[in-house]
Amino acid sequence: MNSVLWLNARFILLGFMISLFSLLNACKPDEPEPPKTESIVVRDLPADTIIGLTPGTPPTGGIPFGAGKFTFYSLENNTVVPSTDSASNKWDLAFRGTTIFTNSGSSGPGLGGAFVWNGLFDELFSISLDSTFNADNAPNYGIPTGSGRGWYTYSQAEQLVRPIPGKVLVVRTAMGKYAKVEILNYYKGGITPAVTEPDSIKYKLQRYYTFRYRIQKDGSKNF
Amino acid sequence: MKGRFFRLVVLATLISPLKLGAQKVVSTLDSPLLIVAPWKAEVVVSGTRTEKTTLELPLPALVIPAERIRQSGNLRLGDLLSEQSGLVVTPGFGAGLQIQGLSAEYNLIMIDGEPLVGRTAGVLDLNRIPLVHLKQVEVVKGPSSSLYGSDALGGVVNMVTNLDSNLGQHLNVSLRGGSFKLRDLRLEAGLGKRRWSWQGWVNPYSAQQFSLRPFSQSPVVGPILRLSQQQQWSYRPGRGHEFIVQWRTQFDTARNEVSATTGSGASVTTGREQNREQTGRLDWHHRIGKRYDGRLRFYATRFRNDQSLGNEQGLIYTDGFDQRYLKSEWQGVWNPSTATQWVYGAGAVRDAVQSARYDAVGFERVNPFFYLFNQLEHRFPGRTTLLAALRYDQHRLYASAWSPKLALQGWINPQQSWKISISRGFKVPDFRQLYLNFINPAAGNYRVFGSLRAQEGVEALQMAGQIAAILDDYGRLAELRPEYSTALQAGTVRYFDVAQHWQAQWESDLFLHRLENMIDSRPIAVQTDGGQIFSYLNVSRAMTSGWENRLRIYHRKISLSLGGQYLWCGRPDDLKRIRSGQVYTRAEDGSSRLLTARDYRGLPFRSTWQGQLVVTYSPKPNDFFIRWQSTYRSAWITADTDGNGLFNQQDLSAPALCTSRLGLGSSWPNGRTPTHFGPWTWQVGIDNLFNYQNAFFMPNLLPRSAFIQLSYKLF
Repeated sequence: MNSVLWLNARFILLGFMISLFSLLNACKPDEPEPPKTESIVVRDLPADTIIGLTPGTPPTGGIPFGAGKFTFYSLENNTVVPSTDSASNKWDLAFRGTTIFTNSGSSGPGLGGAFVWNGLFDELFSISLDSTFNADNAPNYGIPTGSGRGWYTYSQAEQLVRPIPGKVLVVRTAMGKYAKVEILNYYKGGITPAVTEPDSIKYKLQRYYTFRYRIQKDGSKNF
Repeated sequence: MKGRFFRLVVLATLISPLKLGAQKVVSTLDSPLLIVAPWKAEVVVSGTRTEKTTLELPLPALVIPAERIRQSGNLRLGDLLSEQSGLVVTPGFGAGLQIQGLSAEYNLIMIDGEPLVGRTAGVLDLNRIPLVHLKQVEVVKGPSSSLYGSDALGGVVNMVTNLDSNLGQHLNVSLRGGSFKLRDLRLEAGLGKRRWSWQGWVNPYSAQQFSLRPFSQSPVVGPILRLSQQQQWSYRPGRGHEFIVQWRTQFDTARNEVSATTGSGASVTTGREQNREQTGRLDWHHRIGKRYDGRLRFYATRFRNDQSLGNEQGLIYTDGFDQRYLKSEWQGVWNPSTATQWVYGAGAVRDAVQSARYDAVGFERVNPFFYLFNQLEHRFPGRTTLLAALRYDQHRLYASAWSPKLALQGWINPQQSWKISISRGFKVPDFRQLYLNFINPAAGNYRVFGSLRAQEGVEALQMAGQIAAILDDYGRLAELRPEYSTALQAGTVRYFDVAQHWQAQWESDLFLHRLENMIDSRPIAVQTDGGQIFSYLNVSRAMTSGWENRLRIYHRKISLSLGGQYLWCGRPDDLKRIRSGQVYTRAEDGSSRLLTARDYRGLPFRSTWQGQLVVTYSPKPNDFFIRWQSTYRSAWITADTDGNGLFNQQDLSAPALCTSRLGLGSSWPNGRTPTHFGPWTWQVGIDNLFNYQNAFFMPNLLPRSAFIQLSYKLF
């Protein structure tokens, strides 16, 4: 007897919830709008790729190095900006190894800045009004450098760099527009090499960024 | 009714066709033997500091007698323990022991009840210890801090020297040769009269070290030489008194050559490592009347480790470590009645370390402490035994620690017993966790400061303008407290008659450990060059729990042992974070997604499943035996590769591991009686029979290798 009552109660509750849900849906002013911005994926952006190893053997030698040059990127135009324009507002992000600069403060003349938001890229609909964008101020940067501090972790045992999941780089561009960026991979072809690959392969493939971003060109903070 | 039951039990033992032999049942409580049929029970001393059989002990224990050690063909402790039920030996800083999911730093390794010192990153390298002249190796699982103090959280391993004075005059020589230039010589000798005896052995061992590395041009990286010896004198001046002096030395030297091909061509890095260990012990056993047994003991051990690394350009770095451990202890055993036994004692220890990683040469860090312990055991008329113990440790450097234990053991019927226990274990912080001052220029200039050093270290760097950011955990730095674990264990042992002459014994144990105050290294600041600064904090909590089962089936000629353990480990805080939707992982397509509790894998280097199978066939004539052993370990997570701060199935994991070995041996010529064999013994074996190899996760696992051993007993 009791169980019958309980079953009934459950159905009633379920029915009530369904009707409430449809009511709420009906009351919504409009359907969820399609995103106002376009999702752009940039693949294999080189960022000061390895050109050699220091002489000797680890731990003192055999350390990989690049030419020390940044790759400048314009999120607004979705293009690489030549390094001759490094002192201009033409670029938004600059990549060198695992370091990412914004066009701000000690890094450039722009209005840039950034912070790292914890959450999913697709769930960041708008930047909250009270968030602060940090301008680069060497040695502290809007996108913090170092393993586990900004966007990546580096494992010494495996000699691999991996982007941390659930980290979105919220960027203010050189011209003061807003963008959200998620780094997807650090290796050529967008695939992290297997840990068992020799270091020579890991060196050859690293420092190629794959990332996706959305930029709001109307100047608002909604994506 | 019950009394009759037990009388029947004793009778069953007497008429049993299977003689218990070396695995005899002894009770210190002079009670009627709680034996039905030929139970397999071994005497264990580590559980209570008095002799108890594994059946009477209310704790899960494992005993590996000398005969089984010999048949297994293992020469070093690490290899032996890696084949036992519920134990896992992990690589990294030597062979470390994992018991009930607790890693090497939480387990105590002892020889004759005294701790070995000299740990690297918390790991005591089990392969430092040769298996020579032992009576048995005992493993008691679960916290034993109530008897042994710090480090006995997951369990204790005790190697019991063969002190049998009946050995008298003897001289044995044993020589082994095998793959990878393995050479092992054992010389054991003894002399004895009624009042005094001497026993000694010496064991030189050499082999090629093996290491598969992606860079290395050869898997063989250099020779290792180990030299061990032990001398023991005992003197019995009169009734109830005995003096024992023991002196043991261990010397290891290894050269490690890694030839690597780098951009500029091939180059060779040579690492050298040397261990020197000296141990001395003086015991005075005294028995007063029938009810009191006492022991006064002085124990001193010193462990030194020297390492260097160099290449063509010269020495890259050197490192030195020197630990001296002095202990004096008095222990009494009092039996006020046949049903009650009281063990009590007190001791004082001076533990001191010099390390190039802490201070300038010659500076010593000391941790003195003293302790009191008590253990009461009482057997109630209903055959239930109660064990209650409490130990108090007073440290100068840390908060004092109380370690209680409460255990019960009883019988459901003469075929089945049960046991349950609740106990607490603790571990004091390591010297390195207090005093380390380490910088690694090779890996991004990261630094590690011991907790007592962190503040001054960071302040000094700040003054020099080398600090870019101070992190939240800097503010949480505090005096380190001991780590604690509380464990609940319950188990049962059951005996079966499978068929005529076939018996079986099934042991089942459940365990749950709750670790608190765990010390973890955390980043506390960032340097201007990007290098992070770490220090140690009491931050985390963890749980390990599992179910272990062991089935032994035995016949006059065949014995089969099947063991398995299911393990679940984790941190409650991780689960809380996962459930509140704060943890992410990487989906197949490279984007991020929320982590679910189902993805969570708990702690690294833990295999969910572990098991082994041993089959031994030994038709008694000639002492011939043939033995098969397989060990299995399911996959284990090795690193947090997705960078979300915890271990989940998307992280890097080592594949399941299964290794097997085959061995056989015999004596020669035939003896006149079934227990008396010829002076020659031979033994051959093949290890890693199916040639399992894994360059990345198990670089030091030897490929298939074989050995032959020949022994001669002069007298």
